[in-house]
Amino acid sequence: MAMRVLIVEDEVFIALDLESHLEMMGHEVLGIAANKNTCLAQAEASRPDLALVDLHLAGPSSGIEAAAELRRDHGIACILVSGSLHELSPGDIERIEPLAMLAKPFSMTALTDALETADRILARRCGG
Amino acid sequence: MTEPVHPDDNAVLHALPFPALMMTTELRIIDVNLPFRQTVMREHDTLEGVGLFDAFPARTRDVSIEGEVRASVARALRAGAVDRLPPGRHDITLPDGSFTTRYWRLSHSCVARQGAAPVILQIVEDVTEQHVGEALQAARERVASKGANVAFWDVDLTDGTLLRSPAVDAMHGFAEGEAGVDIASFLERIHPDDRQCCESVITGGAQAHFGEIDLQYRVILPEGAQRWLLMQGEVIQGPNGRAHVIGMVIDVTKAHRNEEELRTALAAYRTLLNEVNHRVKNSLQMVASILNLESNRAGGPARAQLAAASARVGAIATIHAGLYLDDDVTRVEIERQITNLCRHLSQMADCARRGIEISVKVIPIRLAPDRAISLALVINELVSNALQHGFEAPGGGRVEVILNRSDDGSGFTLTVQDDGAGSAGTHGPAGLGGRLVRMAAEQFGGTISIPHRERGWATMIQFPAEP
Repeated sequence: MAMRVLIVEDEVFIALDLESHLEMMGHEVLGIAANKNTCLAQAEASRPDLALVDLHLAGPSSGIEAAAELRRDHGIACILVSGSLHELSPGDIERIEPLAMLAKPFSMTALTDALETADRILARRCGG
Repeated sequence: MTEPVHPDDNAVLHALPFPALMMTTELRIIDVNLPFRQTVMREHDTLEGVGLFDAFPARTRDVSIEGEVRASVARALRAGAVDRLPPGRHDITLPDGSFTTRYWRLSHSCVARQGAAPVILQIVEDVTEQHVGEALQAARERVASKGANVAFWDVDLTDGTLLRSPAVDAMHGFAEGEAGVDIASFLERIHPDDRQCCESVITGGAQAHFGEIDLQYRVILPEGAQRWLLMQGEVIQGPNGRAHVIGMVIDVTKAHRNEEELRTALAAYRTLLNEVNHRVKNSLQMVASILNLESNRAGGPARAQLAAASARVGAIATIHAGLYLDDDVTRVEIERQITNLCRHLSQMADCARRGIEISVKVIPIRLAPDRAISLALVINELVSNALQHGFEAPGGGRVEVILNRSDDGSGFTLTVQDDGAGSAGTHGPAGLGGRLVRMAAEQFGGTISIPHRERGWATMIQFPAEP
């Protein structure tokens, strides 16, 4: 099922590559946010089904906080993307409740798997 | 040249109640009294006429008072008065030939005799015990001063009175007489986080729990500094059935500080490793993304070349994704990474639609990261090549990636084979791909062979367990 996705990633090439692959898979990319504030503003405006959030964002704002606030204030679920997923504490995971986690560097296969997992969980939530 | 001395001349010598001897100015013994013989344990030897230091040879040149004795005799002769030597060491030979350590205080005086050569009277005092006693006391004092940071204590668990050496007060930051007799004032100095534990262990001993106590706790000193103390002791039954804890306290702050510094350094090192690792993974992702983006934009042969480049970066990235997943940072587990790589290649080459299956049979081994990366590059080239050239005709097929222990057990064998339509002479990676396989195989010590197959193409690489 096609999803409406917000990309939260501060590395421009990675963000563009993600966008291109998501579109090839038939999903709609609502925007690319490089920091927490933009991310929350775009989420508020466009109401995505899903956000793809990098844990390490530029500046003082952290991807962990962005993901936690998306979940708490907007009810938007995430796929977490990072080269250091092991830095997540059990408390972070509890706050964020990620649909899937994607370890960098990721292959398109891994990205596809993560999106399919997320899609399944979201479909079940809507249905149930 | 013994002086003829009439025994009667020496009556005074033999009347002396302490050890003494008479000798010539050249230190040749004329006569000795009984106390002397007893002191030097020579009750039956002939000493008369023998040189003093022939009778009592030095143990070594360092342990001898011969020089001092000669000088003293010379002074006594010159001054005509008693010359006293300070205590000195001169060891004595025992009848069994061994030596015994002795310290002596000697004095010499000149006994002038009418018409004859002067005779020297030597008064001998064995000061060994006195000297050793002093040395022992000095050693005790040295040890005591070194052990000043060890303190002894004894708490009466019935009423909480604490008998202790002054060092206990000092360790807890009390001036002399400041703390009183009760243990309570000491417990107040203990860090709040440690206090309850100390209280329950020490005062809990009152519930007839007899045994050993081993406590480490922090003390907050009046000026705010923190000190680590180690308390070791025993709960014992004292007089009148009153339980006591008796033990000692040692200041272990220094050891704790070293431990904390090590822990901080280790944490900093871990953070740095995580940071570097994170950057490498992110950068690899970025490179792969750039190539993907360019590949999507390009047309013609450039598109395939960029896709191949992207696949190569992907192969390296796959191994990196498997790095630092556990505590073993020097070796990477390759089984899962190779499976992931092949799944990725399968998807990129649209294998599901083409009816091609990639089967991966890899035994679980760990390799050093550089060897694992080379192995992944080789697999990437061989599998990509098979997918590209082996199945040009429709109908699908199978590519197998097999990593096993070598038959002779000395290393491993990687086999990549397909059952495609290719025939001998037309296959194997050409160009850059072929060179990459040869060079990467060489990096991990591999030997390439091409086994004959009825159908399809196979490449076999044997490599040792360690480079």
